[in-house]
Amino acid sequence: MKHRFFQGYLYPSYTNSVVTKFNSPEAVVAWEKFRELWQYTNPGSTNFSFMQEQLLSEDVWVAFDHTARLAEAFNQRPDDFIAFPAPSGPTGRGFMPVIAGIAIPRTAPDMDGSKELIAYMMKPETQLATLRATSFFPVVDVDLPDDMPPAVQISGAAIAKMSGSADANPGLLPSGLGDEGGKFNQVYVDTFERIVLAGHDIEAVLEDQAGTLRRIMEETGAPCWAPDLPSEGACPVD
Amino acid sequence: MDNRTLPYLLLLPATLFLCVFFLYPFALVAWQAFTNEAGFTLEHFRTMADHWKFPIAFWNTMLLALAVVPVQVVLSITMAMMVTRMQRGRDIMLYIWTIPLGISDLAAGIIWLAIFEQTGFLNSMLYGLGVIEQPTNFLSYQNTWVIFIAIALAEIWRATAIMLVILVAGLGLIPKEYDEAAEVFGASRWQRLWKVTLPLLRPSLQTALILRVILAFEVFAVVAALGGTSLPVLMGETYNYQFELQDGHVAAALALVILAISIAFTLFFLRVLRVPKGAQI
Amino acid sequence: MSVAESPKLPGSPRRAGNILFGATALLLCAWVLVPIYLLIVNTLSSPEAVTAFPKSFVPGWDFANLEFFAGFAGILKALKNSVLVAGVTMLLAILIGAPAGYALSRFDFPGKSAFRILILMTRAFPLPLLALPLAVMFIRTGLDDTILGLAIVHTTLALPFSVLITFSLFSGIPIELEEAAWTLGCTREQAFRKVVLPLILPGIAASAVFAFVISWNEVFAASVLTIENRTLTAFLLQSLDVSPMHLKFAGGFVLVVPALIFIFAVRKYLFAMWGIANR
Repeated sequence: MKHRFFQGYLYPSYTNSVVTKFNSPEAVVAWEKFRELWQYTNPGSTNFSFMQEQLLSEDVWVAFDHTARLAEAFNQRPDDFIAFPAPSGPTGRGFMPVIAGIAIPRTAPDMDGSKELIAYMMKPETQLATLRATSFFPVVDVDLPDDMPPAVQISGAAIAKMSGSADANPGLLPSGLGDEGGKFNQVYVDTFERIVLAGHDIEAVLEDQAGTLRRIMEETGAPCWAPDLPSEGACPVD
Repeated sequence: MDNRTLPYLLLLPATLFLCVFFLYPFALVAWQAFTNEAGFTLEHFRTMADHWKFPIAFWNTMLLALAVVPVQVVLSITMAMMVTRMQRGRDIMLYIWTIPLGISDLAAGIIWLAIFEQTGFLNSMLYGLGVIEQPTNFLSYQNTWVIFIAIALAEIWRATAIMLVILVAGLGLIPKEYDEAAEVFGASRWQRLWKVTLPLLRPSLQTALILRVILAFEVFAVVAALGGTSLPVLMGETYNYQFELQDGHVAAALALVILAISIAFTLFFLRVLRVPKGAQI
Repeated sequence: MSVAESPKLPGSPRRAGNILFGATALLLCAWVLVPIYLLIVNTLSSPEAVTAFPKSFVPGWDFANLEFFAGFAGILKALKNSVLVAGVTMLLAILIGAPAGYALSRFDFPGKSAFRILILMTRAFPLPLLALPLAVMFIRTGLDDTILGLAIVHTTLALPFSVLITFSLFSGIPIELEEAAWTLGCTREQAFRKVVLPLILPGIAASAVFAFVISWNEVFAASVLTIENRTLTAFLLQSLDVSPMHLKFAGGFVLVVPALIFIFAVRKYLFAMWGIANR
């Protein structure tokens, strides 16, 4: 989930942007800060992917991950762990809520069946069952019952606090990238590995990676998404 | 049947099979490496070579092969020679030594992860011996050379058995008389090994080396299990391009690089360990 | 030091040599066995013991990790699929590979080196990339998600082994033996069947074993090319990907044990090949 951290948390909090200000003085400050903070992390963390495991084994005490990947830590030891909002930076408290859309292709062979399936998935009961099992929060308006598993209660409270905070700066998932999504993420991961792990010069790396990013944006023509301002055509990289 | 057509007839099934299930899909992939929407291009090779990890992955792969294969050659020859000398316990010894033959690279990676991870057996042992006061993280990005050693050990552990089997089979085919004759003429054991056994073993050695080196360039699962992304190798990058980045073009280009290295080394061993027709047993 | 004096005692250097020999052999056995033992310790310990430190070097006899896998629906079917695919691969690899190995060892003909390179190329090219165009081809021909389809891909993997091994085996049998049979009135085919085949059969069995094991352990093509008919490795990979450490070890164990049993079960054939070495 590294790439999501950079796209949804680090960049919005420092540059109020994901793409446009990828290579900017604010971004340099962000990476300097991140490099400084990195010394306090577990050096094995580059290979961690399911943070609930490391929390439970106490390889780490503080972790960033998707709620679904932390659920077991809260469920197994609800009294030992707390959830807290993402920290804020100079340009607000960046975080990345996931908004999903569901569509049926015009050529779907069983249109009615598809509609029924979507209706079923949107039912409050189904959404609650999903939440219970996976910690994916409901996308429709549902009153949460009190008997939810600890993971849901604990992370739900932190998420509510985060999205309700005065400086909340939510960003969207990258969109419009088609099958270039993997490459888009790779730009951020590469930038991290070069700056933080390999200790390369920040300005030079950002300059270089911005070229790759610009190429991806121009090839896909993906317009900007929040917190970047809406664009005509492909989202520009300054 | 005359001797001119017979070999071709014998090769026919294998050739047909490979044409349909290897050469054809291979041609499709190779085509991918050299073309884009506009036609012929070297763009994918440029993208590949420009990526900052490519030289690292390339040299990691080469160095791993260089560290692993020579050790395996010495080890497998030693083991094969020991087997031929053994009177008692030979069967059980062979069984044990060939066990890794059946173990996949994925499983081997997991096995060595159990040893090297932070709460693993190596840490526990060093702690028990009082060498260290708290567990160290051996497999971190900060000391990639430890990861390198761990991978090399796992590879030596896993893939020496295949060379051993080929060499044991090869040794068995050398008539004992040669060795006995050399002994009669007063050659020492060491001389007999270098002047009689090893030269006669050349065909098997060649086969074993070529297979092993080619597989060494494709090291992947062990690296993924022990090093994650800290120690990139060519095969890992190929996977990454194909499945994470969804760029079959660059993946194909990388695959062709692996192929080129493999062919170069194959030709090298075919040449260096050439068996003159007249000198065969 | 007794080492310095030992040459004076007759028979003693030999004895020292024997001890060294035995010690080396045992050391090499330990080198192979200890890592497997450690995996077993991890598998048979509770999840807490796996992440505990310092770790115990004896198993805790906790079967929770294994029960997790045994309880998986479909694991038996996956096991059956693995055996079937490996069996078909073994047959194909030998039926197609051995004649080629014989031709390479006995004849000189134009195109021989080209064929050898072709054979080696199959192993020198990352097969997973081929799995994608092959998947398209299989869907068109109805071979997708079948035992035979996967076995065909595994055969391209195993074929270089069976060709090269049979090649070096045939090369080791003096052509004079065959020639003698011809002069005694045998046809080429008779000479092969009565003289060469009995000598080579154990070696063929061993190279068949290779083919089997290669297919058994193959993860990648199996995951790409099967959906309903998952093999054991493809099946495990799916569950391993998302598992914590202790389940990874149990998964590794489940992968290794059949291999141990399998090599043990066919050791007669493997040893039969080594029977040649006894000659």
